[in-house]
Amino acid sequence: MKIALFSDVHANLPAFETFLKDIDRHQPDAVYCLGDLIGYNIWPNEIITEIRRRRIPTLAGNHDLKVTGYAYELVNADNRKYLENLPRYIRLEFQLNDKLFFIVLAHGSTRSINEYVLEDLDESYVLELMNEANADVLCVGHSHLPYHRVIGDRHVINTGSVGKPKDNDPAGCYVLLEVRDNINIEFVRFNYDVERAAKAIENSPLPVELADRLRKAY
Amino acid sequence: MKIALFSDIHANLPALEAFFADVEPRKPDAIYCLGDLVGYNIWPNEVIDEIRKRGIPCITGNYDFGIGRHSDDCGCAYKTDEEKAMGKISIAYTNEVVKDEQRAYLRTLPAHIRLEFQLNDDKLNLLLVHGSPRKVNEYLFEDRDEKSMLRIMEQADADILCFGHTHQPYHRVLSSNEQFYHAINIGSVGKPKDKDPRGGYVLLHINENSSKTNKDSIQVEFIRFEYDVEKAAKAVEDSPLPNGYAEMLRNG
Repeated sequence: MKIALFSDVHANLPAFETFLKDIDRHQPDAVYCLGDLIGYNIWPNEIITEIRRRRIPTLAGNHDLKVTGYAYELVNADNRKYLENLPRYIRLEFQLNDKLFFIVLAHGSTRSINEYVLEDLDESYVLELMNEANADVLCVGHSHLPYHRVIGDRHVINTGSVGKPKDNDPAGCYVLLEVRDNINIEFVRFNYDVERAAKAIENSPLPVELADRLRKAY
Repeated sequence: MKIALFSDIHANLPALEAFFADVEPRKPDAIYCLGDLVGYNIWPNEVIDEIRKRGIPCITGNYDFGIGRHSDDCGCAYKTDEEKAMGKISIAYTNEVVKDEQRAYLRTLPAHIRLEFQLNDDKLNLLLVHGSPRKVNEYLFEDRDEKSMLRIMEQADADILCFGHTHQPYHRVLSSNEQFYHAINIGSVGKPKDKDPRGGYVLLHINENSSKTNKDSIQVEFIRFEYDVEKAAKAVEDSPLPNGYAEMLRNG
């Protein structure tokens, strides 16, 4: 089966709309969102409403729990409740060929919603996290820096960011994870109307610097 | 948030279509399928395709596990020789009609999905399984010994355990060590066995007050919906499947 994983949309509707069109091409069997629907742009409600309408299983990200500041105060009461009640972790427990293996989805890390699991994190520490969480495959977001790291027979995957990439490539990013007898990871990048998203920031009370960050992806 | 949970469709496309028509207007925030997409009727591929098309997260049922591996064993606990003979025909027929791509989907479905909430500064674990956390084809009936049920849930670290497999819906609240455990059988969309031929599913309500120490803070709504039972029953009768399965649909 093919699973699409995405995160860190950060209220960027042009990126999110393009992402939704792009995943349709791949026809995934399931789609999971690793959190941070809001913050840094003007369309939090549009994103949340569409995620709810499509019933995409979604984790809470650290920004989803923030309530003060312009970007967060845009969220309406009903959507705020939705965000507050989102799960922190989702575990997919597979039993293929009599072998158990666990895919764990978290926003930051399996310990904390705002811990960064970066690509160069000490290997023994990553293994400690994964042992503690009983994870064979750990999928996270939060840093907006996509990578796939293999440690022995374990995998750590950062899904990158749909709406606020920070790896110098302004194109949105998500992951396709295919489960067969082994697992296969593909990073997908898509171009979207960055200017529309950047202008929306400039025409809002948000810091204009955020627009520049979208254009240059840092 | 409102979570819709359904299972045990058993290749009954008219029931699945009626389920979608019933659940959509209720606007759940998430939908999960707890397995047994195939067996006992003529539309296994169509049922798989409809669930995949919608990207509904799904776990494997015992029948799916068998068909996914092209096995002649569905792990079903048939009681009589007649039931066993009927069961043999059903799994042989299903193995014959299920196509390669659909079979590959069944084979790679997860066994469990676990959602870990953190509400009121406390953890709340929702575990979705087909039969039991220990075994895909273990039946957790409502009259199971309380201690045994609690042990299963404690071992699986599940505060809320949702499952199907028996086709008999119930919600049982147990308590141990000053916390409540919810065992929820979500019934069956396409092959009910509680004398009510209508399809059944569950809406689970989790909100900011939900906690394992407040019994009523987790609400379970059992929904029943009418569907074209005759169409599903006639399809069985017009197929190589035993006619007994048509009667079971008519009588629930």
